[in-house]
Amino acid sequence: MIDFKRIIEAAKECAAELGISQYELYLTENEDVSTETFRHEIEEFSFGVTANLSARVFLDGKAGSASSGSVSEEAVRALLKNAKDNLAVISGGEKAVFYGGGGIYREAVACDYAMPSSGRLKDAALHLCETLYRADGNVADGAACGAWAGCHRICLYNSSGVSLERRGGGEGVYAYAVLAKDGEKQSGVHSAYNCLQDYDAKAICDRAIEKANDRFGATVPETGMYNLILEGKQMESILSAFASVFFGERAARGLSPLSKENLDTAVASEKVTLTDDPFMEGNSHQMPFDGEGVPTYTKAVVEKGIFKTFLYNLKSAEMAGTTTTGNAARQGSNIGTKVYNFRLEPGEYSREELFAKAGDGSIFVTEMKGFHAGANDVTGDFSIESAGFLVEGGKKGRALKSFTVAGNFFDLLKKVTALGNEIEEHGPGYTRYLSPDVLLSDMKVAGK
Amino acid sequence: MEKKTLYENVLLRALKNGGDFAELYVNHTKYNGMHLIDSGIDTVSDSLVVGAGLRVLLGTKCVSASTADLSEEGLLRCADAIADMMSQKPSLPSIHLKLSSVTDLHAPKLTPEAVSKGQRAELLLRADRAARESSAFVAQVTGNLSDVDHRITVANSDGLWKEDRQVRTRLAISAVAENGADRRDGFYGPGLRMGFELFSDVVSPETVAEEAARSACSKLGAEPCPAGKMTVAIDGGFGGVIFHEACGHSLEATSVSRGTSQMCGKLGQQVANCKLTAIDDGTIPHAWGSINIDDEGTPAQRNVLIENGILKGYMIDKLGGRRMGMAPTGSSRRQNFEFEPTSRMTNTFIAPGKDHREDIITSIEYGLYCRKMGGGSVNPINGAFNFAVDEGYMVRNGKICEAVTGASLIGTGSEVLMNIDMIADEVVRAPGMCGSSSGSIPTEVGQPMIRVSDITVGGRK
Repeated sequence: MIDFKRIIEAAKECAAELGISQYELYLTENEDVSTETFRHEIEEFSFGVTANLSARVFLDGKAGSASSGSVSEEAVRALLKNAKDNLAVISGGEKAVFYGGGGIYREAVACDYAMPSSGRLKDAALHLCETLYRADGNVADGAACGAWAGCHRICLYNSSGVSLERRGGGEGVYAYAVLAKDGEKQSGVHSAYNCLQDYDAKAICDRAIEKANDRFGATVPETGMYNLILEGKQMESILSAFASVFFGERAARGLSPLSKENLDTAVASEKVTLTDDPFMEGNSHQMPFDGEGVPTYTKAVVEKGIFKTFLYNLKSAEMAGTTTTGNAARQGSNIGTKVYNFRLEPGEYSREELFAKAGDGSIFVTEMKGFHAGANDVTGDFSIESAGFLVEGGKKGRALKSFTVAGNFFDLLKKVTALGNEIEEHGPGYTRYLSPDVLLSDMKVAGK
Repeated sequence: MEKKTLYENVLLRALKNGGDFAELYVNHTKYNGMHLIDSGIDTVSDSLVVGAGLRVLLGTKCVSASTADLSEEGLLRCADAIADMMSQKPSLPSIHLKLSSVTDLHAPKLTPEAVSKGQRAELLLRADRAARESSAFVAQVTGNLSDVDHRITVANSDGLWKEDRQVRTRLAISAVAENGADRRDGFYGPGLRMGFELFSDVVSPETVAEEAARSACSKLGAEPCPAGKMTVAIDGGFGGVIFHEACGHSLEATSVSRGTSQMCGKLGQQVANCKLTAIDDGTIPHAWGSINIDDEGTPAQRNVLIENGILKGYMIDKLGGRRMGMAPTGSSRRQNFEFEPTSRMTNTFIAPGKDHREDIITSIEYGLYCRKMGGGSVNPINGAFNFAVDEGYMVRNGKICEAVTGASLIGTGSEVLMNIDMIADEVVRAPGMCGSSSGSIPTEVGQPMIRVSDITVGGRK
């Protein structure tokens, strides 16, 4: 583990020499290990240790920054100097804001994670692999089972005395089923988290096989308007693609369909409440401070369809003349905006009840791909490759493939007519998107 | 300790508990980035990524470890971590590394260190002014000027020891056009494997900005694209992403060697329309995806993948080659030491055909002309792909008509390759970043204008 105190001491000395009075250091350390099978053997095993140290220097309302994967007392001196040099080129009109401290941090669940032995990971992967091959005679080459574990540490220090640290870690196993039948191959994957000591290999493999099996014999639906039931995970992908429309900085720059005028107005169906929660129960990666060291808190972004707040970091809050919401993101030395557990609050219906409400001929969408290109967060438009099932007799019926679901994010939010009452299990994470199944009325589907 | 002895010791240590091949990869990578918004420089950042990746192969098995600690102790600890995973008898070969020279086909003229931050800022500010002056509808301009100086070393237990320097420079401009409540964006981001001579010798910041602004303004007032099956003309440049997604990934040993590609076992078979020839060529001077050597030290080469519709070859790395019983093709790539290398594309393009652009458009009674494409993705196992249309126009009776927005194209590789039935005679290439298991790497896509006779267009009208 890197001795951050020594880095801080070196930074103090260097900052004094360079005449820097306001600065901030941000350190991340990660250790990861993973293994994967091919056929019946362990074929890959990897282990990695990485770190990143970044520095930001504040002077005359500007911030300069630099980062390095080489972490040492010598490196921090170079970073402070580079950050100060970079600052000289900044010409943007907005004021950079240095966090002066004094915030009160909510207590988060402790997450000191002890890495498992490599033998335990290998055993889990092999056990899953044998279970997968035993479970279905059609399992083919390309099927793989794996296990992974990782731990990390985040440290933030600034010259006003803010000194914060958060550690975490987690582990997981997965089965990737590839099935071959009648010259066709299909795949399905299922994962489980934080369960290396007690996982249900049969259940994980059966679920992966079921997902692969479901894809055989799929047909292309006719182009038209459909009621859609989006599986929770697909709605989570949509939330992930469009969360940035709620970022205050993007709105202020004219890069979001939302503006200040939309605050306290209806932007979604009254069924929709979107919450950002850094302390969600059941997630070991709770986060009491953001990427600038500001305390975090839970807030409704959209409440019963009404848009309540943008999400801000210190600079974007200053631009908007308000206070930060503790949503500063950190990527190396760059500051952005992020969400924590960004959750569409569940409703009251089971999946079967949603199928009944949607009616036969509706589509249950279980796969959506290509959001990185097919979703535009400036306009809110999307057109996404999808797959799923026809609703027949009030149940999941024939498999469907190769169609697109297209629309606009805010139109979609207005078309939410009912919500499922469950959110599927998720692995731990500092940024997660969570949603129940969603019933949407009259969405455009392109197929045949 | 001198490098040669250190590297030899590390490779030997990694093999102390077995393995038939060991490889050390070291990268020292300097990224410079500058961001423009609201006509000012908003962020200036530089970052350094340094570290080593070590791996040992035993037949088709692989054990790897990576570390950011490049000291002798750090590298030997990394070797020990690998050896601890092995349980064979020590092979202990003798290793004699000899540094081989690498001919640089893409040497930069104006290296990143020769360009001051002030000069970089001026390039962005010139772009901002040009975009705003090009149209009164331009309401916002954002820009990223980035360069990377990526130095790699590869040494292995066969005695190979090579070093290479890869410099790349790119300017990406996004413009937002507004007309009342109608807001549209446009993008242009040329980049090449060269230094800052990019802006004096190839493309000016003004040209980049004006193209981004033109694209944004062209979409103002556009209606949503109709949905359904159509005939589609896809222009050159980033349009080449259709081959990259629909077929390129399925020809990487990454999926072929594990039997998870639709292209497995099809060498010598017709997999595409007989008009189609496709090539992956890592040797094109200064192309964005070019490499002198791959990340295993194999020289880059020109690989014909499909010739006149017949599958001719795959893109293969060392481990994939072992699994497939085939030789590497100079296609092994990794983002940096944190990722294990695997087979990836370099500059992939559809070769010129014999059709003319205007004939392609006039041949379409009702369809879509895709002037600019966005990114996409594919599932190699069944070939299902998607990609976004960034700038599209309806075609009626052989004429390009109104702009449409929000379209995507989907299909399966095997179908679309057969449906490419017209290919124009001039290739245009464009840069992109490709994400896969070995990280995000620079790749170029390209093609002449092509016609796809029948493909699903996703739209909301």
